[in-house]
Amino acid sequence: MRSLAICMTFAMLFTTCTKDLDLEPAYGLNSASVYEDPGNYINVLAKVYAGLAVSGNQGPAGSPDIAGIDEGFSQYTRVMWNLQEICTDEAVCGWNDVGIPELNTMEWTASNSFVKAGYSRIYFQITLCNEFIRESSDSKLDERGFSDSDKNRIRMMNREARFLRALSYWHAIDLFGNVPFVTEEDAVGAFLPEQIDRASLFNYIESELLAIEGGMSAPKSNDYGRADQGAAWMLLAKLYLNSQVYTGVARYAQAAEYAQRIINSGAYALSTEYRFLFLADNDEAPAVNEIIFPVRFDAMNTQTWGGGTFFVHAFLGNDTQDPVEFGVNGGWAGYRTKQAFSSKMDTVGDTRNTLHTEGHQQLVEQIGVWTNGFPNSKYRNVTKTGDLPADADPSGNHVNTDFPMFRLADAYLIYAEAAARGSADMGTAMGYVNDLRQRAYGDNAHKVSSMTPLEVLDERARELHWEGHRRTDLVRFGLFTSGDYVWEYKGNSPTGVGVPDYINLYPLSADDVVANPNLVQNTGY
Amino acid sequence: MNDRIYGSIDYYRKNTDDLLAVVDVVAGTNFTNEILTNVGSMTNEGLEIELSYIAIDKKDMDWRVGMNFTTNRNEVTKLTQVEDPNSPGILVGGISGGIGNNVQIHAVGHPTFSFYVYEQQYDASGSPINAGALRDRENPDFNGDGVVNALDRYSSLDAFVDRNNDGVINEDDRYIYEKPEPDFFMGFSTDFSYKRWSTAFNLRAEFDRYTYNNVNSQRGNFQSVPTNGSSTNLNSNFLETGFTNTSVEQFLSDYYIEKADFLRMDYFNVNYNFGKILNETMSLSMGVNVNNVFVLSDYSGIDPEVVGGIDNSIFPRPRIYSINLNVTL
Repeated sequence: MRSLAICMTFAMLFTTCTKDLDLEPAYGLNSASVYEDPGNYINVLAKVYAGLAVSGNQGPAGSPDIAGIDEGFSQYTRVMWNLQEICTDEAVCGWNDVGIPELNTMEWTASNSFVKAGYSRIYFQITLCNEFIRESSDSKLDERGFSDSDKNRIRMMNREARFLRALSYWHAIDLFGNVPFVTEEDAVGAFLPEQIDRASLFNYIESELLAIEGGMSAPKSNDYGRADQGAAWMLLAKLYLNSQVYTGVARYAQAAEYAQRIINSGAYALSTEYRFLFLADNDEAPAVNEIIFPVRFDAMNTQTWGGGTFFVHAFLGNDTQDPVEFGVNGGWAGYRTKQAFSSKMDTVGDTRNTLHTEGHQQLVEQIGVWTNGFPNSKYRNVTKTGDLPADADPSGNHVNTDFPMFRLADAYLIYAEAAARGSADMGTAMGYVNDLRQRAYGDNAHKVSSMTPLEVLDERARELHWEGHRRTDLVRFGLFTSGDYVWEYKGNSPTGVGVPDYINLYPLSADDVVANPNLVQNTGY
Repeated sequence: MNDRIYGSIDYYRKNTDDLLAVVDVVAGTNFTNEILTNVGSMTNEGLEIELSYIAIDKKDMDWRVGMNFTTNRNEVTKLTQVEDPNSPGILVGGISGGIGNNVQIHAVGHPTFSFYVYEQQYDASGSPINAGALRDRENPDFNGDGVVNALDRYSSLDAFVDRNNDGVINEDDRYIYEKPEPDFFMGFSTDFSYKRWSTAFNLRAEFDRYTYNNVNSQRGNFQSVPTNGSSTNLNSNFLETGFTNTSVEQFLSDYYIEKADFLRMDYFNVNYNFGKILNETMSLSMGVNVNNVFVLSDYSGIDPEVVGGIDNSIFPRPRIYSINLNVTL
């Protein structure tokens, strides 16, 4: 009896290992041999890009990059989307999955599993970027004796990896603030990164983007899905737009400058119809003309339970909607809008209003009830004609819908916000806004001649809802925590209450604060 | 006594080191965020008493009795390389209901797989309070403001104890409550024979053991019935709680941690030996045997004896009746 109990405890809790496992790797590929061949760099870069799209080395799941959370939850765009949306007026999630209820009600702690997943995912991506940047440095390329044309090709990839690192550091500065700082100078291994303050990280991201943008591909001249100058300018514009939050110094004029560079490049054009931007063929004209930087998804080749698959399934419920119209085998019935947001939408004529109302009440009275709040039918796995894409997943699980992380309409509205704040030309700005409104309504009857900053914020909600911008926007306007603007279950009050200002930042992952004594947790947590 | 009583008493204490556990990798230093490494330690301590007694040992009659009594106390003594007073421990014990919810924890100073739960609050009549449910079903507009809305419903603060008094219910309010492994085990077995008849049975009991009733927590509420276009059965636990809503805290409520002490009879058999028959050309014996004769327990699920302490999809243990006929040529 005694030994049985002990054996059972051991078997369930731990397994032990012996020195038999101290073997040398028996396979031929290692980092030295991979980087000897100039043809391999593109494959490694593909893994860096894939860091935004897939959750591990096996699709859709099975060999996760990061642990401690359901693999699908940990996918880059899925976890970022959750951290940006369900804590705001735009969205709520009814699932009782670990970590989600506290995001709905802004009651997260430093050990929240989405906080940990978002944080870990960002640093996994930064580590991947650092590795590629280190291995594609000029000195390494010289050492390996590559031809000049190979070197130039790899240098271009090196800039793209630096863009991707800047992108992840932008997510870090926005969500977590003062974070660990690692660059290509820090080789992989056992060390304790230093913490960087938010303003210094801002300067670093800015300097990186300014250093690489000149050498990147011209807008729309790279393979679709790879970063070009347009992507770098957009990231600069978004960085400057939020400079007041990140550094205490407003830089709206520079936000407008880089937004206008994108617009004036002439490489981009608004999609003819709003809805095309979120369909399975959004990698084709006219939608593709508007998209500055997408995260690409393919139903057969980049399978994941996050990304496009998540956007289509999770926002759809079988009780009140027809999955056939969405090109998938069924919904996951999770996410709806809150009334505070849905009441901003124009119910007549605005084609950006993609909310499904039939069978739903507008007010989110109970978070767990699917029919409380309108779901958003924005993302679909069908083409412009409403058909399944030609290379659809026969199982109906995975989708071809790309995620438009940066698009031209956002650049327009960045310029408009700068104008409304007195840092850019109002006439030009209203031209941009009216282009958006003309597309939205299909007529010229909804033009505006000037806008206040708050009106731009509302226009951003109507145009860019459920695209992962909302928390950042509300923080910039001081409305994320304030009691001046509330929504259902803000601060876990059914009618909404203000919450302390420290909530503007997520906490650093509690596990990392323990593991790395150099880190000081964000105030309040 | 002619060697008719045998007994032993053992005391044991076993320390185990270098147990494998998952620890976090410092962010930004490697291609993963968690790694499996040898860090854990634990102790097992207890007493084992065994007794056997030959009560009758005669030509036509034989009666033997065996008993044992065991205590075991298991405690995690180390989990991490760096001591962390803020970390509750390593969450384990995935449940059905929500994705990624764990109801157990390995924590220093506690038994392995201890339950890590929210503290349920109860109303005046002793029923558990259901966050999200109407405060008064007879009078839905509880606050009398003319509309039935979330203000007329219980909040999570009504339903669970805010153990750290910070005004919100979140993972910081969970606490360690009981564990699945028993503190005491008892066993009793006996066999008796008289002339050609023989009979035997055993009894086995475990005390101070607890089980998380995941069947009740997942299915015992009205909200779990309609499931995204289909329906599921409602668990009878609903009749006790009347729960209309579910939530993560509800899944992880200490209400569902039930004492699962039990006394079980694993087998009972009776045999008759006919001896040599048919001019001594063959020998024959016949008997009846019952496996899993009964189990006495206050546990509300179908079987208290759940390995690992989480009762969700166990295969029901059958009661087996068999008749044996033994022929030897």
